[in-house]
Amino acid sequence: MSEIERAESFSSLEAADTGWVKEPGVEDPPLRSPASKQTLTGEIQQGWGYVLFVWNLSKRIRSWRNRARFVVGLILWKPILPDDQ
Amino acid sequence: MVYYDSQQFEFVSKLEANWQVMRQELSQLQKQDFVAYPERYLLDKHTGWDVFGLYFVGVKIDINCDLCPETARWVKTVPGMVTAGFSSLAPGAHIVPHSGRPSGVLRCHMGLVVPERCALRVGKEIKTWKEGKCLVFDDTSEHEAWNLSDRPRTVLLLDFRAPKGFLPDHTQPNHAQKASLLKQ
Repeated sequence: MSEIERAESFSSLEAADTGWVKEPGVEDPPLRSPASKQTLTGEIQQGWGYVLFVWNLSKRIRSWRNRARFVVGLILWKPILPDDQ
Repeated sequence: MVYYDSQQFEFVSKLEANWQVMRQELSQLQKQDFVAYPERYLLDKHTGWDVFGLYFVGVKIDINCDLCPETARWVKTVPGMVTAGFSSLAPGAHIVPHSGRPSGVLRCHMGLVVPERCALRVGKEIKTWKEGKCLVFDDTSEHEAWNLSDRPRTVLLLDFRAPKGFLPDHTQPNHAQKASLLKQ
């Protein structure tokens, strides 16, 4: 068996094991780190992350009306505002 | 269907023809122009995903559009464009499996800076980004992305309204869902 054939048979075996459909040479998804308990600090950091995100992007929007639309759009999520435009 | 044949969307060839202009504009941005994507729980190590928004939920991010005028001009031509910007995944970052909310949009990624060992899984299918090429997928399908290289991976990210017939019915928001979203 040539190197290429061996690689192909390995690749199809691998695909059969995982069920992934992938291009040759592409790796499987990496394993996730073991789940850690959600902590209050983690939740605060998450919330603070949202605040920073909204603040940093809002600073780059010129009109107050659009800033308000941006914040409302984030709360209501994407389908709402473009329909209203 | 999870990945779509990107060439069936008319705007794709226009974006792909101009990808180098966009990469040039991207290369002139500073690190502080990007903001950390707030959904940190989607990241395996809770860090490593930064975005540079041009349009977000339909709202123009004026100063960012001024910094990347050509990119902003091209994304504006995409029919039904809702959100657009650059999405940068740091070395070692892994966006864990998740599904977007049904909102009637499709997602397009166009590779701008794509090192080795980066990939996107949507459903059972794993693809790699290619510079100057678009991948279009339904983000309500489970997906994950990773960058195992030692350089950042950056794509142009676009959400656009799915043309009629492109999404299964359950992924289109109906009036009841919209009303419930409004009440939240």
